[in-house]
Amino acid sequence: MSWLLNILQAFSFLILLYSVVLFFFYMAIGAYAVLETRDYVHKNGFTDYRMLASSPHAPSISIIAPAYNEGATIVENVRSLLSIYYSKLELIVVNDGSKDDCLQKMIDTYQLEKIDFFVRYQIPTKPVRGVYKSKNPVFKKLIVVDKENGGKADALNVGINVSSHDYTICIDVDCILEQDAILRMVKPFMEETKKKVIASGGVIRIANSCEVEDGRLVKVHLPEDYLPRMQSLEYIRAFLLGRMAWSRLNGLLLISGAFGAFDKEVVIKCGGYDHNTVGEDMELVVRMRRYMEERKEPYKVTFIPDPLCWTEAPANYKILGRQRNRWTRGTFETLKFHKKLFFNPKYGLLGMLSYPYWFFFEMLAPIIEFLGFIIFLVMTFLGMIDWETFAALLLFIISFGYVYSAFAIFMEVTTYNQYKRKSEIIKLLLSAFSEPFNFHPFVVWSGVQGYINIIRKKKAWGDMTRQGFQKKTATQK
Amino acid sequence: MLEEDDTKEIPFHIPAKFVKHFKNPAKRQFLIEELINMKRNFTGGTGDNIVKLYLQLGLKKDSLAKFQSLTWHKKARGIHELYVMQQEDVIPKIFKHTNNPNEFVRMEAQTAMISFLGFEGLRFLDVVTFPISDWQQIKILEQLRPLDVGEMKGIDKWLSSANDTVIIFALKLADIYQQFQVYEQVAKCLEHKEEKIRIQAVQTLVRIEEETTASTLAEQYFKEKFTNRLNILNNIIEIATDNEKSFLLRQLDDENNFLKLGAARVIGRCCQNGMSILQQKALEQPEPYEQIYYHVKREFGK
Repeated sequence: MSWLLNILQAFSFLILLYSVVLFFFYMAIGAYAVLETRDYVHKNGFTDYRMLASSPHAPSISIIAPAYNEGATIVENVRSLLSIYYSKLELIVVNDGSKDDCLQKMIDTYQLEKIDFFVRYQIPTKPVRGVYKSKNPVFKKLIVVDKENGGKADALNVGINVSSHDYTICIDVDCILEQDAILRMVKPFMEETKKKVIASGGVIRIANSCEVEDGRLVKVHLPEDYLPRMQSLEYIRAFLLGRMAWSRLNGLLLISGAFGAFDKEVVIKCGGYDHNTVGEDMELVVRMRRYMEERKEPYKVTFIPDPLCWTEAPANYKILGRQRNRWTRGTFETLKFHKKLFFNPKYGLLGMLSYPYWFFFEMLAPIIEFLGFIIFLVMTFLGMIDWETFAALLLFIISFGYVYSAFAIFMEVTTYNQYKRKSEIIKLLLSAFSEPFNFHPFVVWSGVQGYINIIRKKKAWGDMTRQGFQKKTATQK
Repeated sequence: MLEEDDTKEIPFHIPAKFVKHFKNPAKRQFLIEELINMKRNFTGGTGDNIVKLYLQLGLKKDSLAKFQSLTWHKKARGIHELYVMQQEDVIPKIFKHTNNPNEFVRMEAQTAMISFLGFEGLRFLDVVTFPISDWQQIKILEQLRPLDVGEMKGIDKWLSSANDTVIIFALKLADIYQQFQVYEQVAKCLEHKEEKIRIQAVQTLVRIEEETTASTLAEQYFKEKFTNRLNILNNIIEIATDNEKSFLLRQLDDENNFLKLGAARVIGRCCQNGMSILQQKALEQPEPYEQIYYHVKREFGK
């Protein structure tokens, strides 16, 4: 049995090493995030965004919003997006072969008519059945494309083919954008002079329990339900710390599919979104970066910390589990497609730091944590646990996780401070206590299920049933 | 109080309960920011009163201290406050920073010059060697928009600047303010190695066109790659005539669908019997010309 003991001890050592490296990464991420946020606030503290909104010299933007079976909320969602403050804007809603009355509702409400439109298939997609524009000049910014069902990536590619503007902002149709979201997202593309900005991401915030009127967010509240509240904390940590730090290093690999801006020319040159993965948002960013690296063109992927996009988070374990399962598969597929980057010095920081970090600490994290737990049980059974050391380490890890979350909340309060009531901040801090015992194990288990699906070759996207903001608002009133 | 007109000579009365707070630097900064926000939204008498209050409270000293700071963001903020509060005595000092190595200090100094001097403030273009970002260019153009057009002294010099972004900005000025006198220099920009300059030159040439502009652009087309080719087709639509018909018909057969559609739009709009030509092409080769024909027909309502 000595070989088993050796294996178990070796594994324990590897887990310890893994944790120590991760610990230093978190420390570095915290420090970099502070520096980046401070610089961002200094640079933009007195920026007047209003001048860009009406300027004839502003760059033209296409918002692309794919919709599949969104009949229940599509009219409100489109109304919300049409209210965005920017003059050179077109809103392209792509109906991805919905089986419900999504298209008909848009036709009726926005007085749409089918027009003759020559679709330039620069990126191959499923066929377009028709392009619609409104007879009413009030909705002149709206273009609705009806196409055969092909998935989210295919729908986004159709939007890019139809788009006639310089930059594209890809969003989830049910997201609520702040009025000045486009103005803020466009700025990074225009202020860089030495490098080409190929993509820019924005913060996604959780809209559950928030008050929404006419498609606009009128009052922010911390989610009342446990799961959305935990996701609020998770998003604050991920966006205000993680993404800001990677942005400073110019090492961002992911721009959330819910809200991201792209240089259309580079997207087309890269071939658009890949419909062979469920992680099409991350895959596109990695491919764009790889494209620029291979051509040795200086480039940048930026991220802005302003809370610009609000979305409804899964409120039950079933839907959350599906989402995290899909994220794991998406990360795995993306990193597999681009395995050439792994510790490849030819790709600089992308190959030597960003990719390995994602590989070890994002993609492998659920597996390592799960295996760690199993081995812990085996070692307990074999009486190999030094309980004093175990208790000290456990306490340290839980405390560190808690301090890290508290630091993220502190960053939020000192910068954008969306939750004005002290009770909400206290609630958020208290929620962090339960994370290691409830929310986190569930997320890890969902990731493990993602791997099981990879092994079984299941490729389903998984439905994202939404409660809808309307209903929530009504109940609050 | 700030909206009263007859307060020119009399200082504002500040209640003592407020004055005690002015010793705290953070509160002074808060006050400056509030006044700056108000000043942005008010002109005339109210705007003057805001400046008066700013001076009366000794806040200019704070702004000058920031301006003299070695920290970039403090310096930029100091410049911002001074120009919003129209402190013209600092113009010569601020001008020196229009080519500051720090882009944010530089940007604020350039913005300040336009705010103080309008079109005359553009003289910083003579000296700036660092790039002017697209964001800064738009900001300056928007600052200039409400002003009466002044004489643009130096535009010919800017068009041959060693700084590519100065050339692009000068091309935009020539376009917006129709500076016909620099046509030759703009045309010369078509030979520039930088594509962004050639793209802007095409747009400007169309705006200040001469009789030969369309044929010049048709010739230029063959020296360009896709982006500027499409740009030429999109712009030539304003000035093309039947003289360009053979050039356009050739582009109608291009492999690239964007260029096909671009050429079709110009033919449909600018050439005699243009729509009939497109219709004929659609009959001969329905895929893809039928869709192109209907697209153009719908776009121009023909």
